[in-house]
Amino acid sequence: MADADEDVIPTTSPSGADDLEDETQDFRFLAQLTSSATTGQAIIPKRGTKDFEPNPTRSQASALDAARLAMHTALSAVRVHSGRSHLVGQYFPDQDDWRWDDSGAGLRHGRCVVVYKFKSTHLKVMGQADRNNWVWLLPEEALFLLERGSLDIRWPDISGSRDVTIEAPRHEETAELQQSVEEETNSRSEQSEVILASPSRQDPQVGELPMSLQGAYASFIGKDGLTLERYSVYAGLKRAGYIVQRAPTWHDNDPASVNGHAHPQPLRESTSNTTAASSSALISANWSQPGTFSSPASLIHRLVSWLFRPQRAESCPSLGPLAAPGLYRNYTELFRALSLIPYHDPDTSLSATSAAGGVNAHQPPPTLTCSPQPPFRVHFHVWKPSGAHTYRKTAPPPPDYRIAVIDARLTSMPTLSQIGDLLDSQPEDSLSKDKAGRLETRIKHGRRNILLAVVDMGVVSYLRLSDACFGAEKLFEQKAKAGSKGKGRGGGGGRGKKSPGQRQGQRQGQKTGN
Amino acid sequence: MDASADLGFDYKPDLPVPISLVGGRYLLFDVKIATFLRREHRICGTTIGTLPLSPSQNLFLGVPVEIMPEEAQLLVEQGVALIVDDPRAHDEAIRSADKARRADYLARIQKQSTQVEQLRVEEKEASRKRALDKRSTNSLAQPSATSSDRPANANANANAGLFDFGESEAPTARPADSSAGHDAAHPSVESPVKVLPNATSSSNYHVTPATSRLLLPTPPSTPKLEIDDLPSSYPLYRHLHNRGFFMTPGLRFGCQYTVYPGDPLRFHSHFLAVGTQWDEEIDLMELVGGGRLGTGVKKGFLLGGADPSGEVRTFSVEWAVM
Repeated sequence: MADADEDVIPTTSPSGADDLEDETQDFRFLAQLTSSATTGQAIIPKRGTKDFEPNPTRSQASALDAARLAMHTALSAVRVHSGRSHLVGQYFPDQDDWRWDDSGAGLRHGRCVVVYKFKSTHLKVMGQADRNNWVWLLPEEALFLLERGSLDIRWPDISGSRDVTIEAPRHEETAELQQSVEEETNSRSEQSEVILASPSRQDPQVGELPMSLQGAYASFIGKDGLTLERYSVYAGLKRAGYIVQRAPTWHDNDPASVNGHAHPQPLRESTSNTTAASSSALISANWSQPGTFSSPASLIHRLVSWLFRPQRAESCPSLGPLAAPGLYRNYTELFRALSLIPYHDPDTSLSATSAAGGVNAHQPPPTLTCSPQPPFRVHFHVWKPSGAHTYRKTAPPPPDYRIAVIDARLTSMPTLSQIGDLLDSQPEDSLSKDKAGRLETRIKHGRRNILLAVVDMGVVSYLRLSDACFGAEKLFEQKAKAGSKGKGRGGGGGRGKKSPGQRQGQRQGQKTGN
Repeated sequence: MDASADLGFDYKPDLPVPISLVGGRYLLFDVKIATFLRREHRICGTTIGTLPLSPSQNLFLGVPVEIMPEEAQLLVEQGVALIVDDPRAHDEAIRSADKARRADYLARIQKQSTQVEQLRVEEKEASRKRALDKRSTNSLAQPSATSSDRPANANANANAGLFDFGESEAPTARPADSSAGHDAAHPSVESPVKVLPNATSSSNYHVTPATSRLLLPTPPSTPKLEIDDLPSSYPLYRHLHNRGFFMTPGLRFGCQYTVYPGDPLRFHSHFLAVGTQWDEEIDLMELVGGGRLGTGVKKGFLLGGADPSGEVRTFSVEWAVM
């Protein structure tokens, strides 16, 4: 496509990999990629080998033919499972057969594929084992494994009198207790002969009919809230090596603040806190008008500021000088006196909300107003590949990214209140000063952030929204601490303070949207 | 190229070809159909599936190919394709007791796996031979010219081996030294072998096929002609497509379609297209922004839509220096 597109739009990531993904790649390079696996040296495809427009030369035609042929051959490669690494899973189309957990019907979560013997590196980040050590997979996990050629899924056998879909789980339940009943139910099937031979330890037989890729898409997409968009995002991240799990707000009707089993314990508190601050966006919106004395937040602010500089009268910009007359010993105090414009501060608005809740106790709980509405809800929790060795399915650490999947054709850019709701439902994730020394990095990272994965007909772009707080970083104080008292440039401090933008969205995907 | 014929590269399917409707999206699973549509009907689509050859990268993706509703509509209108409700078709196929279809399907899988097995055996044989050759050449202590030549050759062979078996009936187009593969499997596509597979397959290789072609019943002969979620920019799409352009979804370039003069595999795109309605008010900022963006990436910003009579008019905006 474009060979000069980066000249205009600055990319956030200087690496070329993202740019390559944007283009339709010549599949002849894939041969180099796959051969590099054997030779041990990675060959990165180069760009810029495309032509401007078709002309009737034969060289162009043959180049196009070769490119298409390479693509065709690459795409027609077969998924082969051989010998020892052959994993077989059984698919259950019926909800009643999904039982990965003994505790009952409430926790099924759409785990519709069972693998009786799951020996794979994927086990660490996928699936859920029941007491028989059978691993139950979510539809996206099963589809991803099948698609990458790691899992052979079988359709349930159906023939006349017997029904394996029912039979296999029933066997699971009653294996130890009611073998005699078991014998009767299964006596007609040949396969159960094997089971009967060693009833307690033998895993049930899987179906005979292997599921095709087409069948897998037909079976798994649409199951338990899995849309094709969500799967595209899931598979893309998994291919890149990330650990991806469903977020507790996966289903559109899941309550936002309830933590599912996939949610880490420590987050529980912070999530409920932040959801309690649901109306913070509204309040801070009110608050951004100067002179709303009724707001308790501004009262607190005033009280605090009064405590810190009690020796001077309040400045009153409408009547007198901006800086009240008095004794100023350094520039910092002067700058502080000049900081008139209120700004959005997530922490202050949080305390303001709780204060407001204390005053009007009969108000409805703010969680009702702010739980993010679909489609802008978090669908995936994502962990970086670097944390893979310490990651545990049962007790995952706080996620590195939270992703909401958006269909580009149906949804437009979220409104400020939608972004506010979405961000308010997220736990705080700000960089400390030790982690990121540079001020710009911290502001850019924001207090809370979320990734929107925008899917346009299979093409995924990522958009990062963060709740940036410009006002909290006081430049003049930094200067003062650095010892350059009195030398700090006033312009920098003023600029930092005056940015009233509460939310700052910035694209991480480098190409601009509309 | 000889190999192209063997792989089904020039395959001409029986029209209309099926387009799978899964979760409200239009997918192509048969690579031969995808190639055919790309070649003959300028429908590229987006590959969204993981390539089994190289499953841990996002640069090259494989089947299924997702196509836009506009493309599906266009193909249906032209009688080239029909829409198949895949989940329902599969559900019926699985629940039906049609033994013959299952047998055909299983037989094809069986055949593929034996093909793969053969191929693996041949590969092993070839590599053993190469190793022996190498050892003999090494022991002869020949000048380095030939020995440095050899690994490159071997590499190329290994690659070809990776690629060269088609998804289905196509025989393996191994380079010259393995002629066995050619006559081993050469049945035609249309006549699936009606052999009941033996229940205990001795093969070590199990295959997951890409399509469930033989399993599914033949789709109804009277398909519906309207796509449900057709966007209002369809007239613009059809107009540009009829002019010979290739189009792909263009959100990441800030437009609806990126418009290519030829196959996107080989050509850069020329336009960023946005569809509008005839009486729709267009924000000047959008024109300016689109024009600047397009010029910045060396493309034209193209606005277009159908007038009340149905004729499509297009305008392109470029940002010029005054």
